[in-house]
Amino acid sequence: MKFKLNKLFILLIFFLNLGFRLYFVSNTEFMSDDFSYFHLRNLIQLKTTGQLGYDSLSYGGRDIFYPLTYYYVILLFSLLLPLELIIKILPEILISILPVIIYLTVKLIVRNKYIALFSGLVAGFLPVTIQKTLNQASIYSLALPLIFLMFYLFLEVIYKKKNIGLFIILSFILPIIHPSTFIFVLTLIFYSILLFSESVPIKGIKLESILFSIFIMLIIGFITYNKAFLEYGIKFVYANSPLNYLETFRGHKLSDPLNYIGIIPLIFGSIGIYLGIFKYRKNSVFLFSSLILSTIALLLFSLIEYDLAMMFMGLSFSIMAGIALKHFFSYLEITKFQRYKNIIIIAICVITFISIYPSFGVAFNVMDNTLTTEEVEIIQRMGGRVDDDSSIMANIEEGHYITYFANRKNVADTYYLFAPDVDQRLNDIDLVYTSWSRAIALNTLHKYKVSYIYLSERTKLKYNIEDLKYIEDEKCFKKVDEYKGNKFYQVGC
Amino acid sequence: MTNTKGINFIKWDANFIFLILLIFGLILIIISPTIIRQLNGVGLLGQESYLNYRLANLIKENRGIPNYDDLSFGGRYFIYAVGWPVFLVLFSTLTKLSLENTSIILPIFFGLMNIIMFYLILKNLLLRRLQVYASSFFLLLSPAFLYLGSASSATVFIIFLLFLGFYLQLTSKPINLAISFICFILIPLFSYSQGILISILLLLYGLLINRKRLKFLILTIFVISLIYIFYYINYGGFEQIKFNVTENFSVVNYFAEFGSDYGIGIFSAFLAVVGLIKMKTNKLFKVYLILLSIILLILIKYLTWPIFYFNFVICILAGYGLVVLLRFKWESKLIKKTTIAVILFGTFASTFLYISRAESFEPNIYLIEGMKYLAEEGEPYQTVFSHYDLGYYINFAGMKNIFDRYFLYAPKPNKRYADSRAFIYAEDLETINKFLKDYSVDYIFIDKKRYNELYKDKMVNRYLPFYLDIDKRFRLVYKNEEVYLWRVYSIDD
Repeated sequence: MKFKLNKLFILLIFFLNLGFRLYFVSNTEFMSDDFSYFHLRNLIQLKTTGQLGYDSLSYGGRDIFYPLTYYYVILLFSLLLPLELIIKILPEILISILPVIIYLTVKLIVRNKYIALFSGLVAGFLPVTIQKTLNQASIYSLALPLIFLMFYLFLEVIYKKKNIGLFIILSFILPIIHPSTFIFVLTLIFYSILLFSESVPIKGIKLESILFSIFIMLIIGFITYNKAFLEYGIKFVYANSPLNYLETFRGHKLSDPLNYIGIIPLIFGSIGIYLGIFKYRKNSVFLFSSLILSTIALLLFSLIEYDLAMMFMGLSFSIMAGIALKHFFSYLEITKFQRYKNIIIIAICVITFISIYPSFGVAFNVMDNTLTTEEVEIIQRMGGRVDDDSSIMANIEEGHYITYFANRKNVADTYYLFAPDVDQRLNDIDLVYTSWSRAIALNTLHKYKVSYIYLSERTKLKYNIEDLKYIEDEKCFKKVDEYKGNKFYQVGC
Repeated sequence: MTNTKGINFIKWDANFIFLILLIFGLILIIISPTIIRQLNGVGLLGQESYLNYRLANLIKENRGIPNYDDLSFGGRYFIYAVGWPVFLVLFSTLTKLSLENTSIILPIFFGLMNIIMFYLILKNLLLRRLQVYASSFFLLLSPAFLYLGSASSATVFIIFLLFLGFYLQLTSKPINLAISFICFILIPLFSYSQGILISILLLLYGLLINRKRLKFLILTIFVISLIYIFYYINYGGFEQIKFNVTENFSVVNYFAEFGSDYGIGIFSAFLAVVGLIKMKTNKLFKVYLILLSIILLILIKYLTWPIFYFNFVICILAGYGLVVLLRFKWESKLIKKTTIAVILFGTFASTFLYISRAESFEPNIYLIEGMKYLAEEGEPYQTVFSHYDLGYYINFAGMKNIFDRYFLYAPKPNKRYADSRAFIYAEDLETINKFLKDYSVDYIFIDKKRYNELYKDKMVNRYLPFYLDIDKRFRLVYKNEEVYLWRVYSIDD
């Protein structure tokens, strides 16, 4: 019976998450971020040519280097269903496994399936995870579950000496998924330092598994990303990101973690860290504290995106919250409040569901910002107009829309690795949309052989403009198409 | 009575076959890069091979060492470490082999001799048999060693002299010491800089490890110093280089897996770290290896040959590291087996991948074709401007260069460098005209690699490439995937 209840919980968490996600995904035929279309184009190229190499449209033509494992997983499933459908559904299925892994991890640590269920639910509805993965072909849909599965297996190995084989296999797979998986290596390094500083012995299988995974993941990572190492040296970690984007705290407030992670995991998680490190000196707490520490370290050095960092921290806090709850109930047992235990449990359940509520707001927000049919139609029409080798100027967050829907060259997009003159191009795009000078704009547009400028509602919002400031001269800038506020200008001279 | 003679014969026979197979395997691995290059028509490996070939040819034609070299630096006194070119000429004359074939065969032969000497030295130092085998195995499969055995460079012979001298001084026979002494004092004739390094290396060896040989080694170093004094009296001082020849230095370039032509293996490097950490037996030997590594690591930043010496240190330590891993008391046999399998498989795989890349090592087919075009179309002794890294190839094509990598005793290397930089980054015609007139430039020769190094992160259209495009005096007369050649016409033309 116990066994069945456990399975039921796993299924409950999984389907609750998947149902939530599929409900939103089914509302639109488009995906909610531009990068999904980067993946889609790569997948189509990989399917037709069998390789990724040169992209003739992005940045007017550039080399493409992207880890292929994720693509192979999607292509494998695309044998069963159309690629356009698989790319919408599969990431949602994969990310829905994440709360199950969190459930298993917490269950392993606290040996209480109800508390584990609480953590699983909290993790599944973290606002930041929904914001960055809902209705998106994000690689994090695969990377995050695998990273946390790796943590789970690591704990299994050191607690029970079980699943060593799976741990070894995953050590090989993880580094070829995405560079973000290196956070596991960094976490193990921080973990060893923490254990050493607390005089907790590191020996036997714990030492072996730490050294083994660090060694394998670094070696495979170095070999996989050697092209980037060669091109950028040690700066490869910045993935050629533009300087402005490297300032990870830019545009973020101190209260943002509260919105990104949620108040419940943040409060209970913090208590869990305190109890785990200072009172009970638990291995698992050291491990997930190390994950938080390494995320903070990466954030401080601008080596990780803010949103991704929040995902790692949020998930770690969800696990820690489970530990805090466990100790809270243990403590409750020896106090007079024990007789109110059921009320407290109900209160916690209510708080849990209240904490899930903001996730709906985030999900609706994501869907509101999704590309509309009107936008797609106007971009596609424009693609038909361009009949030469020229480019279309669009704001950088819309670059992938131009290459995918219009099938035309863009000036820049959000995939920076191996892209030419990223900083320069970003400055030039800003200049075209904000400049008062027709001469400066024309000079910049000629530089990139731009024949059309796309001014969407998003671009207007981004640059806080109503229109381009130099369009009085109709000879040079002729409005050729407009649909629900989204416009195209032809560069005529 | 059993027929022991028969059994011994069978045993000897089996050993003999094993030995034959081993030698055959050794030769096969060492000659593989050369065979691949020859089959693909890319000729000698590395720029130094072309310098040595040209110098040997000059010596042969001149029937002695000439006084003047017309091609390098637009003409300079023939002050080179001529040991290796003379050796090539002598061997070629004795065997009636062409200089090109001699340049191919001799490095392979001395490469083989080096691995045998390396094995004998380690065996003589009373290291564990397994460690000796492991170190020799890592050396044989190391990319730097394979490069050494494929390029016609003095370093392969200097290392042979060093190893032979070192091996012989381990014995007490006076005749061996005498030969050892001769070996050591010959080294400065083959390379000035390596002679100095080896003197330091021998002194450290005498001071730290073998006090019995200190007097002998000091005497040797004294004689080597006399040779340098002789050089100084004969040729005087030389102009010190005031520019940074390592501006594109990146640590990752020194690992073969990252695409370097002569890097160390990443797996050996990892094992070497393990070996160094765990080496407890002979502390002074450890100190010696650490000191040697520090010196070499500093030198690697400025020169190319120290990497070959460093590779030997790495292989010694890697052998020890492997023994440590094998004898370590592992709690998980699975992790142990996987770790060792990964290291061995990785070493093999990286070697075979390295060998398969031999065709693309410098000079690659595009550079060779560019050189051929230059040799066929250009008039002998015309001046070609290029990056100093391509200077030897220009001379090989029978043309004068402005400068090359042999800065020692070269005429005004700093001025030439400064002038060339001004020319490369010229923003006006005046600077360009001045340079063309001062150095009587007839051609401009550049390859993709150097072009990217020179103009990386720079607005190309501000500098020389802009003028090469628009000024009619420059005509692009040859272009392939990697090489560009412009003919420079005078203003009157």
